[in-house]
Amino acid sequence: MGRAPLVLADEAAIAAAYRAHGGELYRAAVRSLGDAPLAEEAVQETFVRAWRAADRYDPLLASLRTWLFAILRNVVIDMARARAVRPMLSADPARAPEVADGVDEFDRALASWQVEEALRNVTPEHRIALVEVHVRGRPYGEVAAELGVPVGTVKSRVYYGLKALRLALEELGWVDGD
Amino acid sequence: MVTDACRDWRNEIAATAAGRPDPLRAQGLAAHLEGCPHCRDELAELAPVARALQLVDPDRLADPPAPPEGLGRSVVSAIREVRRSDARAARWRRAAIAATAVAGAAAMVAGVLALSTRTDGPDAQIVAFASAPDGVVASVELSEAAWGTQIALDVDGLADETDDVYWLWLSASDGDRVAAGTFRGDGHMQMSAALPLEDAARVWVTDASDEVVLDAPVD
Repeated sequence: MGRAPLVLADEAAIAAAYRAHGGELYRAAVRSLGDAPLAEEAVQETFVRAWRAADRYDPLLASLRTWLFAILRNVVIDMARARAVRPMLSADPARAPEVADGVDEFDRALASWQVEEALRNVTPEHRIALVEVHVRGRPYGEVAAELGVPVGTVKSRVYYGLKALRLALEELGWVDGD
Repeated sequence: MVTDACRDWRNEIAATAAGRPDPLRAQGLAAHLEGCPHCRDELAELAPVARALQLVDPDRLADPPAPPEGLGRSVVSAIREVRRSDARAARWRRAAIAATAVAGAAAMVAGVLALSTRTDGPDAQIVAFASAPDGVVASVELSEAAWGTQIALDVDGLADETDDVYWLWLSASDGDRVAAGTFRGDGHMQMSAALPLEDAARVWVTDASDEVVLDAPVD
């Protein structure tokens, strides 16, 4: 059971886990910390903590991705809190306000990231229909004219796009609800 | 059961899920939903997805940030470093426990005391915190670095107290403090402070409310 690496026991397993999930962890960290160097630090710390806790990881309970994201969440919250305690020590004070300073803000940032990441994983036709109609709020007719397809086609792409997006979100560990 | 009627209402269900129903068809959809559990489920399934879409910033979709090229290598080497320092920490922990046992006995007379022992490097020293809360064993190894002082902190028992963030500080003899970083819980941590080791007079740890938790003089 469990196709994920059993444990992050050696460097090859760590490197494989990074190749599989490093990019999305990094993007989630950038989204929630608003700062590329801090995000790098967060990803590094996530893998260090994962390696230290590897014996407690059970692939039957959670996918490696879900587990790594849970660790990243803690890392980001720790980093944000540490900065909040002593904001004056920030190397660049202008950067500090962009840092999510609590669990709620992290979760909000992570939720936004998840939807954006999931949208990248659906077909371009579905993505365009969802973004133009439901994110940008444009009329179906206008979007249909721009794409050169009938209005019914745009509506149908929105329907199938929402279904595909739900699957893509679930793959990222999204839980139904707000 | 999915019927032709269900297929006819699909697009309207999607629009309704996203809060943009066609007012001309709303009544018809309501009537269909009334008698069709399948379509009610579908609406319930798509509505949260449509709500989640509202979190999207379309301008971020085009250029997702790519991780820097060397990050994968840094991850592997960070873990290699941690693995090495964990092995060292195990040795230091034994040294610190021995030092603290001695210091504890002496502290009954002297109040606050720290033991310093020279290690193999001429510019490195291990300081065990004698003034520590009950059950806490902590030590640091200070070594000189180009940017100031490299500090390897080894803590055991602090996580039992609180889940707070702690701060490690070095002070010069004039009292100016320089932060060496933050940590949480127990373990072995590498930190650094921009104060030359030869100027360091005190190494100490504060909790989130700036109360001193560990404190020791540096030779």
